[in-house]
Amino acid sequence: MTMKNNRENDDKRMGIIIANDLRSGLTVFLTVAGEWTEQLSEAMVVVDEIGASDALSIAAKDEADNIVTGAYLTDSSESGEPIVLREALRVCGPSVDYQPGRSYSKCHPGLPSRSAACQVELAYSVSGEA
Amino acid sequence: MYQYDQHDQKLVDQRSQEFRQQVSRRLSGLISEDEFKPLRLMNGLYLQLHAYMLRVAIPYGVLSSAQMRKLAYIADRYDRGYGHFTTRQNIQFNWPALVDTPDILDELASIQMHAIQTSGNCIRNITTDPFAGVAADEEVDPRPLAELLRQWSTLHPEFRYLPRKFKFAITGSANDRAAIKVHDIGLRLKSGADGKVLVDIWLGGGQGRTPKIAQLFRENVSITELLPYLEATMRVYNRYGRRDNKYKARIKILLAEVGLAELQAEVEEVFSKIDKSRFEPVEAELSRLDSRFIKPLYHEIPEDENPEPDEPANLAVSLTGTSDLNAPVAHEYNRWLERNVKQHKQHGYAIVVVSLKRIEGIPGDASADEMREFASIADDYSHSELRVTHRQNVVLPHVKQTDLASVWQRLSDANLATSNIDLPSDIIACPGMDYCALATARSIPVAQEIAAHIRAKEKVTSVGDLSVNISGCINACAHHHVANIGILGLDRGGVENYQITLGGRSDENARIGERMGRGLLASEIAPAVDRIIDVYLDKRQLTETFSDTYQRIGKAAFKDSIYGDDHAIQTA
Repeated sequence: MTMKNNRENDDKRMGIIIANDLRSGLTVFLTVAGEWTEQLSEAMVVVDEIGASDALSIAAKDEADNIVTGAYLTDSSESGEPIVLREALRVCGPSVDYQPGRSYSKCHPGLPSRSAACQVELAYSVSGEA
Repeated sequence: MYQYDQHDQKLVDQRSQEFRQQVSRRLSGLISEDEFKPLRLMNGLYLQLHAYMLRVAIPYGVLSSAQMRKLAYIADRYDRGYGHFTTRQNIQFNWPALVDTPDILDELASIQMHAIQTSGNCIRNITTDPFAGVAADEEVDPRPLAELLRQWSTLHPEFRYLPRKFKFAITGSANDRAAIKVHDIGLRLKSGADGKVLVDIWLGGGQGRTPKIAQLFRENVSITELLPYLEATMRVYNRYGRRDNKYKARIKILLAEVGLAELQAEVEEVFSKIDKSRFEPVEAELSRLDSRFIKPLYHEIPEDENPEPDEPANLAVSLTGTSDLNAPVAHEYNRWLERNVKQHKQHGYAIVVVSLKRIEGIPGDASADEMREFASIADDYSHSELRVTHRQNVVLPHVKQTDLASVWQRLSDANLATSNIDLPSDIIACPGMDYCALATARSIPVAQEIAAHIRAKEKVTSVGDLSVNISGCINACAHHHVANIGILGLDRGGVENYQITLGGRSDENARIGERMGRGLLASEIAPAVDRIIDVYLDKRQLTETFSDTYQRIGKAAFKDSIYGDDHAIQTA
């Protein structure tokens, strides 16, 4: 199985493995323990090519084992926050409130709500800096 | 409202059972994602940016109140309490779990709905005029033919693996509200001299990366010849449409490559060899289908009676205890009557368009509570029927004029009485990069910014009809190519960048908009749209529409308003 690696520069950037949980479809991240989590804070940050290769191998196996689907490696900051806007949106959820006045956590106890860091990064940035 | 017969019901029930088995095989690992993907897509199930997305067909945009309630139930039970009405008169749920989708399809089948052919390279949901059957200007009600085409195209064995997706739209009015000229095939139904229905076939329209206006392919086709002719056309496309390049696989490219005359000749040859008896008797079948539409029993109001809707002054009295016509409530109601109420063919009735474009809201989104309120109002005032428009709004098609004040009050109480139909803030927006895996930029927050920016102007000036559409990628789901003001979101070096096109229109005089120039940052779009509208207001003559003014004065003044010296552009 060929795993997608969408990092722009393999040598200099850190990354996380991102995928969709097969059953729920929700965005999940590979952890150091080789498991999948919906919490970005628990994601493993890959720091070199060996780590990336190992992580992608785990992801490929879990795809084959029908745990996740569409896994790939994406650039991130040191703390694991994606650098590319599209991936940041995947992590944080839509940048718009689907129902004004209601939040995810209010509607769906237990689901991850957007982190403060994501709120800042994805607040509709008219400066185009996101 | 069309009512399924036993064959219709059996088909959706069996399809739902089949998909349950497919999902089960996927979850147990008997089939891989590569094997499962085409199966789920055939049932409208995508994997998007955050989760699965289920696209449910609303054939020709018609819904019963019971169906709307079921959609609300699905939104609450299986999703996150809301749904998104699309430009193809469908609804999308953004967060269903794969394990729940068989149950969702069962729920849909229980109220004569499904998700069949809402994705994949097949004939998609047939769309039509949202005012079909009730519009005052309608010549022919397109719904029975739309239902016939739905049945003909559903699981048609020859057309399940076309070179690319294929979209039909139908109108029975000279005033095209179905955008038929930007569909693969658009059908214009007319009443012939002998009272028989005739059909003009427009072919090769479309948007995406190669926008095209359809060409008149065959004129005055009789109803008896229509299905075999369409089958011949599809057969030719299926054979010659390019499968080597998905960006060149639509029929509009085939038409452009071989030319109108050659494609017509090819279709005619195939048509001449088709056994027409397979399609007979079409007129009897159309009559049978027509008989399965539940017709509203209108209250007959004598022609010499003219039941006008409650005057704003009367409403002001009932709501505020004053008869002040300047009271905000009277002003709002009057404005809603002006923008959201359309002429009905039945004396004493009106068509009400409910805007899903609240300024702070997401274009096309409705919460489960709102869906239930739509259903309840439809039960009380619109013969339990609703429509969905390709402009992402909801229609109450059969409202007595004397009930308009009550309907407005109900909508107003639910924060659903935004009076902006066909105004610039009635923006079509695709989900964009907030949801869509294909998108290259966000569209929803930009639409919200534009709406907030121009709403005040709409209220104090007579801007009139003016369409603003924003797509989050080149696929143009929001029809930006045919908007008066079209906006396309792209990625430029990791930054969202937006191109503006002007002068497009999607009606019977459809045109592709002209691109103005380099893209703008998100922050620059709303002020630019504001300035474009100012140019229009300044230059228009009498009752000129935006398109009229644009055609008359050309692009220079508009372009200058976007890029002139006074407006610093930060991007190259």
